[in-house]
Amino acid sequence: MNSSPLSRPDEASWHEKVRRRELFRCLDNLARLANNVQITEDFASKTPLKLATLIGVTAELLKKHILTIAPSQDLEQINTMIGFITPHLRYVERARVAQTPWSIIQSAEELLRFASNSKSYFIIRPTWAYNYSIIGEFVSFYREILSCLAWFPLDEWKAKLELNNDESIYCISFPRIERDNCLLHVNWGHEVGHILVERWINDYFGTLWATNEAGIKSRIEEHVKQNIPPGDPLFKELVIQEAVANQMRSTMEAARHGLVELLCDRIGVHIFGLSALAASMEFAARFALDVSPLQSSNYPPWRYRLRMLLQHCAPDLNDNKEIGYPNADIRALIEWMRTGQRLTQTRIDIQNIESNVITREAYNFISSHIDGAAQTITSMLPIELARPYRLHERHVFISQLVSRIRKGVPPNEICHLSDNPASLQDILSAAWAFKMNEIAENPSWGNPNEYDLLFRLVLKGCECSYVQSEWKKRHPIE
Amino acid sequence: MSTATKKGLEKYLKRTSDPLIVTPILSPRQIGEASLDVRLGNQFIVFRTYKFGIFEPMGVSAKFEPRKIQERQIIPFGGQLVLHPGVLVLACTFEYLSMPGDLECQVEGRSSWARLGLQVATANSIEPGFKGVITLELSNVGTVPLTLVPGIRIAQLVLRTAVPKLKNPYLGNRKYRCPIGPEFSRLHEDYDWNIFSNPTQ
Repeated sequence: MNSSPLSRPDEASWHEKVRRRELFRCLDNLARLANNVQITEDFASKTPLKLATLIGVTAELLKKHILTIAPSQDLEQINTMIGFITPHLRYVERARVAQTPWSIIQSAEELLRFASNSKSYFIIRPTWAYNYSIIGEFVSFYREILSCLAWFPLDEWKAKLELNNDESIYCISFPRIERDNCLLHVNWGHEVGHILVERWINDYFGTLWATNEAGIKSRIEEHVKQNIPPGDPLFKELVIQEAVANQMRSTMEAARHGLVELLCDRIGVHIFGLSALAASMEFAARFALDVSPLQSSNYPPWRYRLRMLLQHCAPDLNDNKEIGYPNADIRALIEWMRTGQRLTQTRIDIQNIESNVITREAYNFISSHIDGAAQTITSMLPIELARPYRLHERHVFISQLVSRIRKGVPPNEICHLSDNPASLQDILSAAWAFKMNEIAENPSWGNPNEYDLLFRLVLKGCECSYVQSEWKKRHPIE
Repeated sequence: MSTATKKGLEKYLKRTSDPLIVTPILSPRQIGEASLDVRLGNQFIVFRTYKFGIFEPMGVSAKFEPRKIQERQIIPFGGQLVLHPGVLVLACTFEYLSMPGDLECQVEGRSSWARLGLQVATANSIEPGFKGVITLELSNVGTVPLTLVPGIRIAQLVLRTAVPKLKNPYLGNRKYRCPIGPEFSRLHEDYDWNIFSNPTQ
């Protein structure tokens, strides 16, 4: 038996042979898994199938060529790709109809698609983390990594996907524990905001920052000079320069991230109105309200976020006797929001921001530019969504929907037999108004049966209104 | 008791006080001369026959748990359910009902489906004041599998006046409260369940 070490060329040959064989086997498995999930599972919409197809087609084409034309130097890259792509199957698997609040998925996806100019598809799936988030975009990510492989047949890949050039797939996650709590799912509006805000960030943030950079830098420099970090006096200038550079980088990150989150909040409330604010208030109540962005991965303090949202919703919080607003069904919700306004009169969050030069500069930048940015971003929305959703313009209809919930009937249509299905925004606004009414009338309201009944009625309302809308599109004249 | 005709049905549907609510009625043609067509919902409860050879609802030692032998299936709108001969599945109406205090209703199959072997409901009486979707017990007594699609008109409701009108109908601890899908059996919640299921206690 020969026990001498393999020569370099022999080792390379062994390595390539085994690697190629194993990668082929993995790709074959991946393609089959992606195919199986399409055959065996039911989904509330077709989007999870699109992602499964994307994974399956990618794996299939890599498999087809790995034994023949893929050069050995690309094998490691293919291995890395498999590592990236395989976990994406979990987004498909978790979007199975039984795992999701399926009644609301179709109408929510349609609204989110519409808001993002109809070119984006959304997988909506639960996650065990208590968080709402958006992941993607998948198609461009795959295109980018595959285009690094010169031999990969990108045209064949595109043809098999049956996706138009500018179509994209995102995955929105929601906390599994809140699956049926459709009232909280208005947070999806914030998540779709990330798509629009990212476009703005890519197009405008750099320029905007550059025009403000000199001023911010001089103020930070001044601050650093007054608080020189300890060190050898010989290197004082160097230490100052380094500290300034670090703080500038941190300031820009805090400004960018803070602006993104605040703009996404604005988009959420633009699409869903007060219910987005109500969901944010309930979500915020779980956390401390005044944590500095520097201690929370650059997220703005909750109290700051709520203050911004409340400012945007101000037209809905004022009484208007001429139109009888707010009426009895909505008053409790409005009163709750007014409590929120009082909550934001405390300014501990701002004191925390002001106490540090990084956050102070970042949030000065944010407050100077957020309105202009929000205007640009809302102009990206389709014309039907150009105006913000305002409760005071819908309160008569919302009232009818609240009255249906109170009677134990789903809030799916405005006026019975009117052939007028309620919009998702109206349904969720009514659900929030009902909930706040119940709590106002009976502070101990909210046992599991009461919540369960509310969620069931609202989910059924979403399902019925969606099916009725689809029916109307296909049978316009009856 | 008298059966509500089309005009009567429309009157019950349109009156402001304690109306009959059937929502949504996708097409006015669902209202027939003396009945109202309802559509198939997309939630089903099917038997897991591969798991159990026997189920004893009144088994002395075992807890009553129909989920052991049945499971919920959701078929998205646009999908289909194939009902094989001899198979029973629980389904529900797509429409949500709120019955007034002066109407009761019988759920009947549609003759077009019956001719293909589909039985729609056996426990087919809906009390005044009921709210929710109606659970249907679909079984194929024919010889060929039937493909069912959520949204099709599957059954009809025949409504009859209830005299005298109930003032607080269907309140209190009802077993099936505002269901939005077919419900698992709750036999064990019957008031006399323990008397016969466990006579030694």
